[in-house]
Amino acid sequence: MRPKQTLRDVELLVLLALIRLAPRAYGVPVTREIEAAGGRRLALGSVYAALERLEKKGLVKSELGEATQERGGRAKRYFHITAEGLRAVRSTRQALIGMWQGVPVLEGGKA
Amino acid sequence: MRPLALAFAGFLLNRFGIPQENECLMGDLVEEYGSGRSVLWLWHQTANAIASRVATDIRDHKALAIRAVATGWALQGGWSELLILLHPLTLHSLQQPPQYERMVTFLKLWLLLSLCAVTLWPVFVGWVVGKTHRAQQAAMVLAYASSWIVFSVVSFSLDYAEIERGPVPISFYVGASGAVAISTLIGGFLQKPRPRQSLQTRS
Repeated sequence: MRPKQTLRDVELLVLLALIRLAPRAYGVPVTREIEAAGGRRLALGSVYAALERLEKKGLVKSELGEATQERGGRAKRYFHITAEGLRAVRSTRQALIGMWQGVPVLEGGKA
Repeated sequence: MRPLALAFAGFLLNRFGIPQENECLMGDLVEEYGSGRSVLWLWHQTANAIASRVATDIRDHKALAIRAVATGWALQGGWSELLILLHPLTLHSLQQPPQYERMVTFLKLWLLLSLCAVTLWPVFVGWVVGKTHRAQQAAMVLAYASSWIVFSVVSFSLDYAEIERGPVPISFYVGASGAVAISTLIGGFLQKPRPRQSLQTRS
């Protein structure tokens, strides 16, 4: 059995953004998605650093897209989550749910 | 101003990061900046991208970082040893007549060596550290320069009382340490970093 991948919080947010934006996820929309849905403002450099780590772990793949005028003739780099990436997200979700359950102070919105 | 700011941000990213990866990041910056983001936003993004790259490189190449710091300190230490070796020679020279002329020669030599110690030699040390770690140049040069800054701050704090009582003003020590750090950075970034291949990028 392969060991489960552990994800940092930024990596989890980036992977979730990739799933939500598929198949056209690149730096700018990923950052916007995390800010809009996750409430976290991340710099593009941090997002790319997380994407690079995830790519090294084999959890995402990337490919170069088209160069556009609005980007000064530079190509976009599209990122896709891999099957292993999906497994890591599910595994992290299970771990979080497991930790959440049975803690009275976290249930029912009471603090 | 706006194209100039973008061009400078691109220059910094290429100098401190990975040129082929920065193409995509730079494209994102141009896209966002073109949609009305401020210059402050651009500098924040650029600084963050450089900091992220440096942190990632040091984390992924700890052994190289240790080697870079050791290389820098070995060269810097070698220079200090040379100065220490020269010191008795110059003192001996001072004790020989005619003393006034010897004193003038000694002062000239001391000034020249001091100037080299805080400017030219650190440029050379930075250059060697950058040259021997070209793939992770920015991270390794910054690692060594940071170790120098930490050393300076610690030794300054430990010797503060003695320095305060001494004849040399505190600003001299601060200025000299700053000059060494800046000279090291200048030397370290004299050459372009070596291009690296991204892992799984397909074109």
